[in-house]
Amino acid sequence: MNIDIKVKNLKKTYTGKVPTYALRDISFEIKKGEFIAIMGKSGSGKSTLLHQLGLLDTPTGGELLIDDVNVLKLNDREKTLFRLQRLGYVFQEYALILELTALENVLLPAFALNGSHQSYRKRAADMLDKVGLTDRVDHRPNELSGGEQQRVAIARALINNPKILFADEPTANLDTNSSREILELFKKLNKEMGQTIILVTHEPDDRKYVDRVLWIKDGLLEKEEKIS
Amino acid sequence: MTKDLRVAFFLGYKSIVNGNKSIIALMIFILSLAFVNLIFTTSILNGVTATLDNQLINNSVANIVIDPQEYPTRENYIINTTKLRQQIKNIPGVTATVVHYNLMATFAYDKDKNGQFKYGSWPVIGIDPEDEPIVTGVSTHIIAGNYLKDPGIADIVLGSDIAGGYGAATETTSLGGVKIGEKINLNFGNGAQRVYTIRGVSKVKFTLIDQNAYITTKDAKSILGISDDRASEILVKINKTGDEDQYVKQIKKLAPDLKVRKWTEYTSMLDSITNSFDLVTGIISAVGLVVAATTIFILIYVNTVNKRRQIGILKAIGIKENIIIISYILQSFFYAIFGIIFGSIIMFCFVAPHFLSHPIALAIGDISLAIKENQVIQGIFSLLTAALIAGLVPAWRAAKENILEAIWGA
Repeated sequence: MNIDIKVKNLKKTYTGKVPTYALRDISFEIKKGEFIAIMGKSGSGKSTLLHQLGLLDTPTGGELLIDDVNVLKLNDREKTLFRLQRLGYVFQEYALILELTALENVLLPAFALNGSHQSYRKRAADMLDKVGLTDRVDHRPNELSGGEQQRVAIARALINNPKILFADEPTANLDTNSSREILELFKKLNKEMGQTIILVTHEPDDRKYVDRVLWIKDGLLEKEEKIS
Repeated sequence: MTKDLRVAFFLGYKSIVNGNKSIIALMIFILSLAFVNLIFTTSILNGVTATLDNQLINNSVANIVIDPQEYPTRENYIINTTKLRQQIKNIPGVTATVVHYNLMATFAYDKDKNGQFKYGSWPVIGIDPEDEPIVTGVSTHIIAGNYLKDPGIADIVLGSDIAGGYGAATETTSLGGVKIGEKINLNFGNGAQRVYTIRGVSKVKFTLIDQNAYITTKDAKSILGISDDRASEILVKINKTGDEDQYVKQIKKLAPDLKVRKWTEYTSMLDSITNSFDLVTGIISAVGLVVAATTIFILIYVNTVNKRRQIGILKAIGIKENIIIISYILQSFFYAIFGIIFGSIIMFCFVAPHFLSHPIALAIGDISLAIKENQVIQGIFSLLTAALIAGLVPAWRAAKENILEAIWGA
């Protein structure tokens, strides 16, 4: 199969006094090695969609196949293992563990997956080298700039060779230069490693880095835009 | 599971080593105080009961008291005490025996030699000055003058609460401060009157004992008109306190008509004090444990609430809930273990030595800490159990929380 993600009629409704229909019957497919941007106005449902795709939240209805696995049928424990083995995340606010160094943050998912951190130190160091942080391996998050922290988060997301990398507005808190560096890094990873990347962004300029844009409006897939 | 434990240990270890040192120090400090509180309150109350026990055994009734026959007829004296004491001494483990002659007298003392007497009624015990120190310790608590010596005719040693002038709670009913070598008049219950020379004043710091006066057996027998080897009571000292029951049985076989009692049964008032303190100790221990457990729970809870976002991140990147929970339990064990270590240092290096050199003066004697090994072990296990629960509950709650709510605090 050449498909990494298959979404069919995906729904997410937040119950309350007045139900909020965050996602309404969204359907699309993402191929292996694609660099996708999910775009839309604030409150359109783009982050909600990413959270459902990344198994950080549970949809109200619909179907979701990732790497040919019907992930909505997995229990919590299986979802956790699935995330660890096959998915990688980069969050808006860096989301590093403050007590760990850059190297330890990067190797943590590998350690959790394989039970040994010594044998993954070299790989973690290589990942940090790949994101341009060779000389920052022993620094803790509070000793790194926002851009550097985000690059550590990217290295961490890639340590277990994930099938898909999810990035939720990863440049929202960064200055222009750092934002450009991060997006170029994503592009490089996509080109050189064939990494499937799904990026949520509200910056129209970010379209130039991706292969395709999924435009979300009011919880609906408004249109798909192929970037040449 | 081993893999999970390794990751949990790694996360816990890093959280401690690279965490906020001030918060870690504060948590350990608070837990060490909780541990000290747990041990201290029980130890001080143990100290009260231990002092009561020691006073009774060492300065009053020894381990076993043999009183005269009560049934079928009530007798005033034990007969053939020489033979009986010899038989009792032959029981292995019996250290010594002494006879006592119990009297009651009205004391009259003219302190200022102006005909203005002060009066009071107190017990008088006839003792053998040679034998008595082997069984009771009053001779080692003479605070003025000397202890009785053979033959000691017309000599008396007064308890400090009788003598007065030594700051007792019963000062107002005392003789107002006697002088060694002066004379004192005693009118005994049987009508006998004697004038004694005050040889000494004893003070064991236990009101019940410090209200006794001591004369020699020769004097006592003459007052009571006893010419043979009868006595009011026999005290028996054994070499291992706690084994009284077996000796009571053996003595009862030797003298089935006599009343043989352990020291614990001898005064019901002290029994009720001891029982009350045991109850209070139990209640305070339980309260102390709840306080310690609550303290740990609040500390760990606040810690996990502060790390809620990090717990969410860990879950998001695929770290199992078990690993997160175990890492927090390990952290709370770390705080508890170091709390116990520092609490023990505070307790055994500072608090206990201080109370040993500066005991609390109460009407039953000087109270120091009586730290029991089993209660320390119980305290350690209690604190570790509290740490386990206090680490488990908030970590479990945080780990079960929705990932997005944990990360973004929704």
